[in-house]
Amino acid sequence: MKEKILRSNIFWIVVIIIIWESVSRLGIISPYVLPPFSKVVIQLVQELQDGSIVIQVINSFRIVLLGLIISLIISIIVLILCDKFKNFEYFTRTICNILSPLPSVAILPIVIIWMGINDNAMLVLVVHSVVWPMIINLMEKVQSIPTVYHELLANLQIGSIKKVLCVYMMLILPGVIAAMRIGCARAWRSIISSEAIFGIIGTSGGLGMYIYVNRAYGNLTKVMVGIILIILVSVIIDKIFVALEKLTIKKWRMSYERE
Amino acid sequence: MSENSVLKVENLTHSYKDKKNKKIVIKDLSFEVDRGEILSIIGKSGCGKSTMLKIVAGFLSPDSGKIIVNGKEHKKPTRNVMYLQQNYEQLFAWRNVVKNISYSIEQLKLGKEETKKRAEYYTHLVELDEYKEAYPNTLSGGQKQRVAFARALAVEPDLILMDEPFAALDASTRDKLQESTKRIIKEKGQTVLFVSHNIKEAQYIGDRMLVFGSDKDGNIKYYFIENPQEQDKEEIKKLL
Repeated sequence: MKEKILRSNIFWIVVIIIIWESVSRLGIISPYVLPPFSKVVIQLVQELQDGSIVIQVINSFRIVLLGLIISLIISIIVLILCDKFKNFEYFTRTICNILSPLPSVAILPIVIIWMGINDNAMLVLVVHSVVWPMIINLMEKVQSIPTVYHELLANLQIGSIKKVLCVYMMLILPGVIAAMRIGCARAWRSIISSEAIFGIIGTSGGLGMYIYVNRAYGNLTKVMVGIILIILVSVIIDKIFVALEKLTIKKWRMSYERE
Repeated sequence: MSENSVLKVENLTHSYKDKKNKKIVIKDLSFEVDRGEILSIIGKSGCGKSTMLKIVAGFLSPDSGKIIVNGKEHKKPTRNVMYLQQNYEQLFAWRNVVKNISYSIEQLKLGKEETKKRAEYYTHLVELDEYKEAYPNTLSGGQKQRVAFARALAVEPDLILMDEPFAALDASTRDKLQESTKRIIKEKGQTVLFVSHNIKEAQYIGDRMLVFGSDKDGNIKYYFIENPQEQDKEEIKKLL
């Protein structure tokens, strides 16, 4: 029972909240530097009732989701081309290895010059942070598919498009979901950091912008509200992926997928 | 090539090369297989029997020689020559039994009704009616192999290549599958090349047997045995 409690995420979250509230209330850390948790929660409820923060969450989430979808589509197209042309795979690997480590914040000035200050610039940054590692990840997963499947598909004379879309993507489904999960985290990081560092880029602003503005006004309670909202949205997204895993991978016990 | 011949292997030679050596695994092999015939192939490990099957399937190119299927040279994998491996983990986890079988039929573009009808027929043929809605993760090794066999059979190819299909199964499942596989092959009049390392199995399955053996000096030599069931197992062993 004791071990069960210790293993529970909720237990540790409660512990952190109690410590947070105590150090702030007891003045160990100034409430101006670390506002009490209860104050942040009250502020969060007020912001949610007001509704404007919901729009900012939706703005950021919309770009993240769109970026993920575009990245997945690009990755699938690349996989099809790699299947069709062996040399394209070498080319893709080189490009991915060069661009993957490049933080999206580093290319932000170039993107602004090329695209202007709008939602599309934000989308480019999100796609940049997601697509390269996603391609590498999926290419490696395809290579780990047992030979028996490659031979079967060759035997049945399945074309590249059908092969990648209908078979490979299903065979590497655990890898696809993992890539989407990692991609989602990277996308959030990219959009929030870009907004928080450079201020408004899109036309309406998102969560990063909310944090940026409130930091400028020294309102740390609101900054904390923004951070908590990012955590909450990430947890919800993660739960969606876990549910998707349960619905597919665990149901079919895709054990041959080499993790 | 005789009129009834489905497969003709002509002077097939194949070798594996590493940095220093070149090892010839198949040397000047020629034979024909008639329609509806089962040619079982045995040999020691590494003698080239699976390599030969992969060449016939079109997955490997030989150093020299020709593979002729139904009068046409066969160089690349096609649905006309289906290859069945010993690894039974080759089903699609997200498709149930009947859908796994229908996958190969779907490629023939016969229409929804005909595909469904044919898939049901082959599910019945391999005696998996009661498991037709089951997913691969709930099937035994033998059942999975039967699904893979039905999937290959359902394309109605000219030739099926079976590469030690029962090697990964336990003895009792293997015995049952040998019996049912031979019955189905004969019922369908299917032409089959059946590779095995088990002499008894090769004797039972094959109408004729090809032994990848060696002569007294250890040189590669091929022996053809008619009516293998009637031959002494020990005599065949000596040829290896």
